[in-house]
Amino acid sequence: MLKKINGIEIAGISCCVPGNRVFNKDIKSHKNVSRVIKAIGIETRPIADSKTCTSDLVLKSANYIINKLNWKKKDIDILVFVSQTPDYLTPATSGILQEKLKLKKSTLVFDINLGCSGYTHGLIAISSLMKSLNLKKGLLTVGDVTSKLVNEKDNVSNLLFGDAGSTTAIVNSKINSKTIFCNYFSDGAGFEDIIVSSHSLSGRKKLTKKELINKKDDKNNFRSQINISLNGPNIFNFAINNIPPLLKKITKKIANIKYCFLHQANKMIQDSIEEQLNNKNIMFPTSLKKYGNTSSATIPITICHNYFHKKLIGYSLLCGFGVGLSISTVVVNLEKTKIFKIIKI
Amino acid sequence: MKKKYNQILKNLEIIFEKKIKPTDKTDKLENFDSIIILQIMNLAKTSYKKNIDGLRISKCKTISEIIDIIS
Repeated sequence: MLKKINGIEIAGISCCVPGNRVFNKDIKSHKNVSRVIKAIGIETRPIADSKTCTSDLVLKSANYIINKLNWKKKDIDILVFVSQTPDYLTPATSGILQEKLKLKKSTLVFDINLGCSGYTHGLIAISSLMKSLNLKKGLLTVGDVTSKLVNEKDNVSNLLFGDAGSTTAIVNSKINSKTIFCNYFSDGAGFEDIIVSSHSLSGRKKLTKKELINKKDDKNNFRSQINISLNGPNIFNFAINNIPPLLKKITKKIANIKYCFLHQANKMIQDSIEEQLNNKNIMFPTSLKKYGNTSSATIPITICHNYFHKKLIGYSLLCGFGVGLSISTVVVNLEKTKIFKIIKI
Repeated sequence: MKKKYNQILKNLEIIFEKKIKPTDKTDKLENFDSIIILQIMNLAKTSYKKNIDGLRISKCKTISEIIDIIS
């Protein structure tokens, strides 16, 4: 069940968020907003302005970590960009980042279309490639501006999403004991549970004027086909039924797991997983209150928010889950990882 | 059985943040929304080891029907 990738070291993690913030108590469309805030655990969220794209947030975090780690750009052999809100449908945003970061042209760059499980899926993908192609240094960039997909009259999702970008610096280490353990799970039957139905002329639902019209659902939420649509109960069921047994198995197999960094979907899911795992030796750090659900960036945001300039001890269990539907977990030792303060754009 | 029924009713009172009766109609409860449904699903899973579909809860017309599903 658990796969091993030997000789991979995470050198550093940086994050960038928009300076602009929205406070959920100011959202007037909910009848009892304080009850909802208490349940989802999100008080305020960083929100990108109309000109800021995912690549802007990621670029700033990437430049920051390259400088802080004193990395030479010529040593970077691979850049992977994970997002469900890329700058363009085509070309891939990773190429734009390669040019803006002035990385060499022989750098392997590509995008992965994933959301909430994107960070852990991305770690698995980049680590595997670095080992198999013998690449020295790599950047895993993840981020999303999901707030741009939300209809402000959709009470299912209008208090949830924040925007953020992150860069993780990865080194192909000669020390084989630097091992990451990984696990992955997909259930495409739930593809409609988190969906943006129409996005272009090439998709299954071709983008026409009709797709732009807001429609009311049976709970009085409004959204069009270009807005994100969430099936809350199905996502909740998927998370609380699949993740706790998986994490129980992993924590039985690997000793010395001290932290569990869960994707920050909402407080109810976080609490339910923590309660079912019922392991007092493991901490469950959170960043929901101040950052909300930043999609693929929630795991690095939670690490940086809670542990910048601090040392993590033992193993950290990272667990991303959501769109797809999908789950992936990575167990990694972050004791020597440099964790930087979250910067703003 | 009665003890379990009453315990679930108490749990639901915490979720609804008010005193409720089994005969109360869900459409008269102001806050019977998606958040409450998720909280009930979580209660069923964590305290009573039951996987309940959110749609099933949303179709319950009375508190008593919700209790029956959980128990």
